[in-house]
Amino acid sequence: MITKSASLRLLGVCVLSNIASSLNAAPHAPWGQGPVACYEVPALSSVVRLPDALPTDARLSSRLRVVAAQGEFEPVSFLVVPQTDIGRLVLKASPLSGTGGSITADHVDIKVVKCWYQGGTAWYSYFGDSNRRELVPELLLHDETLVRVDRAKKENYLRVGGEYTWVSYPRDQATEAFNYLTEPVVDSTTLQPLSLKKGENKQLWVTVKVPKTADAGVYRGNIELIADGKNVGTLELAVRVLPFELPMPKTYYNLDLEYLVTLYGTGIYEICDRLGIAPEVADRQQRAIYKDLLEHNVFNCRADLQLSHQPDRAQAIAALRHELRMMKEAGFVMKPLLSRGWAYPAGEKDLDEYKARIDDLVETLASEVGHHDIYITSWDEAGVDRVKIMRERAEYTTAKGIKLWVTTHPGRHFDLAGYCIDYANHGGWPKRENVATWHALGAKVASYAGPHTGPENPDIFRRMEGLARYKAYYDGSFNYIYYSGLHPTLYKQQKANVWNDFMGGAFRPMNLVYPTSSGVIDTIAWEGFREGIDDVRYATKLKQEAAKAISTGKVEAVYTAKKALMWLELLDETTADLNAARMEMIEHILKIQTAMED
Amino acid sequence: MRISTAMLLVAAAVGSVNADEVQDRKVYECRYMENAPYGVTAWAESEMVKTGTGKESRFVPYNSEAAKGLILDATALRDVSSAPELKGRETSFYMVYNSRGWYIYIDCREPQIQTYVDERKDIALEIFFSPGLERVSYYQMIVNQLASRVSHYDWGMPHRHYRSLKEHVRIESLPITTGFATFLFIPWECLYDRLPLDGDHWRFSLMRWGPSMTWGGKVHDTGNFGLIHFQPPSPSQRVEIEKRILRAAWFEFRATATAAANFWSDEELGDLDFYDGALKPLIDQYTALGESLGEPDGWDAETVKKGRPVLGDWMEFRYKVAELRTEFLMNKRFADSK
Repeated sequence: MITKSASLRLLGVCVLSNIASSLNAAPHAPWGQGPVACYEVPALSSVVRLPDALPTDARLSSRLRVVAAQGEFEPVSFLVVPQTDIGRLVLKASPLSGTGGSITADHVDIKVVKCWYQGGTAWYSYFGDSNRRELVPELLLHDETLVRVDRAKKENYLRVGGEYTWVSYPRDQATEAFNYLTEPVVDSTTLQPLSLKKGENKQLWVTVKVPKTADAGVYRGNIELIADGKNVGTLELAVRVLPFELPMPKTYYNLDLEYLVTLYGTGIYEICDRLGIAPEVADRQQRAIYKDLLEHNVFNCRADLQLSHQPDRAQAIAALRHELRMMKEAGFVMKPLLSRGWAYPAGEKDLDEYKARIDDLVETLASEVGHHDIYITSWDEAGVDRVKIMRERAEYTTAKGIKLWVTTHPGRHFDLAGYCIDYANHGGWPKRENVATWHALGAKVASYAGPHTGPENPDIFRRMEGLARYKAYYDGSFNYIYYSGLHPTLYKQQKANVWNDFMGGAFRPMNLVYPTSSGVIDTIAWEGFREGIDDVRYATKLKQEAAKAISTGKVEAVYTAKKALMWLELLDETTADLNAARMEMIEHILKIQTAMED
Repeated sequence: MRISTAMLLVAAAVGSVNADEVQDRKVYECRYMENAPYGVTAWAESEMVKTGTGKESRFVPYNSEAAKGLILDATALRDVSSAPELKGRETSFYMVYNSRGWYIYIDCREPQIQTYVDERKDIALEIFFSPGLERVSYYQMIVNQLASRVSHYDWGMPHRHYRSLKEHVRIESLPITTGFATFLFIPWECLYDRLPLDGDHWRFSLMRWGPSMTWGGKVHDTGNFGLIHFQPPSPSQRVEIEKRILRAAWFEFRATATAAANFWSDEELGDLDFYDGALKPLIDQYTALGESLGEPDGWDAETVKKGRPVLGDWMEFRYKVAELRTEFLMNKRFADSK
């Protein structure tokens, strides 16, 4: 018979009461009988890491190892398991040093993974399930007290200014929209002391930002643990810096084509304008968002402002120009340019008005970016009638030398309007067969809702934004949405609170991050997104090195390269252990480089 | 059989479920049946269906406002617009389980069945279940009965503790004289780490589109789904289930280990350092353990106990290999920098 505890082990956890005995059973364990023990765990994983359970993949350890390219952000994670209550645990990272020099301590960012209550499907899905509450890990915080969790009542409270506000209330208790742009919700910039209770572990998340200028080699430092003023242990942190930088991502099927990484809902100027936020405040927040996007591999930001539905055209043009300049200043790829510009009737009485708007839009976009490699959109998830209007109006945008991107669905958009759509953002899980039809017409293909953002499981985003989509021959990632912001016109009726998962409705808040007045709060799902695109960049590097090796004509280099390409093609990206896949890509890249040197 | 309040209370007492979970929920009692019917025809002609034993038909109309909102679901196309009369269009299901797996038979009465067939009109069934109550993924399938097409939605990511049902579940849909019928068989092998052997409750719901009705809650609304209570197996039935699982794990291990050994020991494509130093010793160790259990046909409760510690690694040997390989390559990256 499978006992309950055996069942729990099968599920990937063992209860904390067993932890002490497991420590005793490991006499050489580095943490001995001290007040805390640390367990290394894979940072990116589908395993839910909760306070009262020790996952079976947790390994008692006194070292953390990171392998990263020059300029890469790479996470590593561990659990702190207290053997006693600790009022104040301070974690302090040292600089890293090695034969190649040193990496300063500010390149080692430590955050705590905050578990809080979310709807019943939170780990898995973007669909709402607010009739159940489950504790799930999600937020990455420097100050764990930003969110207070009442385990007995299954409620969440957010510190707004100096007071905690209930943020897990049902819809009928919503009084007004939560203005995340102005409310004083602020995380610390560095890790604050943790409070630990015996029997409740905490997951720590360490992100190493390897400087682009770091020489290849191994760098070592440590993370000191100080409990109530006393050193209670040290974790060694070793970082292997690889002898290369990651390239910009290219498509799997053609190394010359950019793999575009875009997200919906990254611009805040429209809502700032509606809410009367001062321009300099809006700029500061938008800059913080752009920085966050670029640091998470979103290189092809969408210009979110449009000229339709704007009473003052000149003002709208000025605002759009400003947004584009901010994007350029931030460092986004501006060619091609993806724009929310609207290729659909927007209340105009006649075609001439539509054409005048498109003329203004194209002139504004092209003059700011200096080219016409521009994609604008049309009706979202259009039905048959709207697809027919869309294709009629697309004729003018095509004649103006720009292109159309739209959300597409099987049997509708390709069949009715395939000839005028240049970039199909296909709804649903990525599949090669969805791509083939569009590629037959020379169109690009991305996908969204496969799944939408919202689930907390970081492995979903690593896999689906990463190798699963890339190897299915897609041209990019274009998911919905960065976070569920306030609706520019309906926010008063909706009374939404981006921090509240219990407002009912068919969908949960879809948040890769949580917006605050000073930027965004990170999540483990957002880290999964970054790692997914990093996987694509590693695969791109592998293919680029393979192409170089093949071009040498030297048998050993050619064979080594082709073996790597064979491996990548045979990799089952839908089920593979992605941590292993990453290490294997690195191994192949280094082997190809060695073969070319010989 | 309709489930009475008394039975609800019994179910709550038998399982380890929190009483709050059962209150106001529909609960279906899933019995153990060694010779369960297999396939639509066998079920349609079974005594259970003929006599209505175990029949569950407490479906209610799907909330029409909520149904309209489903148009925003970009991943699943549902026909929620057609709303024929409920009368005469009863939906019911039956379930049993045994040592092989979980059997579900769904009977959709449709007075105009011939018209549906002639005009190629379909009825879609949307099936949800989660093998447990907390901290567990859920599964979603949409079955188009006429087209006999099944769409699986994997809300978990494949790893050691979650696998898609796609390659495992067997589904058959057929038009029968009274409507459409669908049979599902879910073998325990794909849920081996979630087996309901202790009187467990699982969340379950079934929606029928055309007319729109539900057994519990809205789509993905796991908090309002009904519950399936699995009658605890007898000791001998339990051993039978666990023997089957262990056997499946052993042969899964052998197949996966052979493939892994062939690849990693290949002088051109593999890695002999990895094979000799990490993989082969583990394969040898697990093989020896398996062989020490004797012939699978002779396994008993004691064998099950001996095999239990390696069951997960055997069943998921490809992930075990990946873990070994990750560790091997990580060590290699740091090997020259002690």
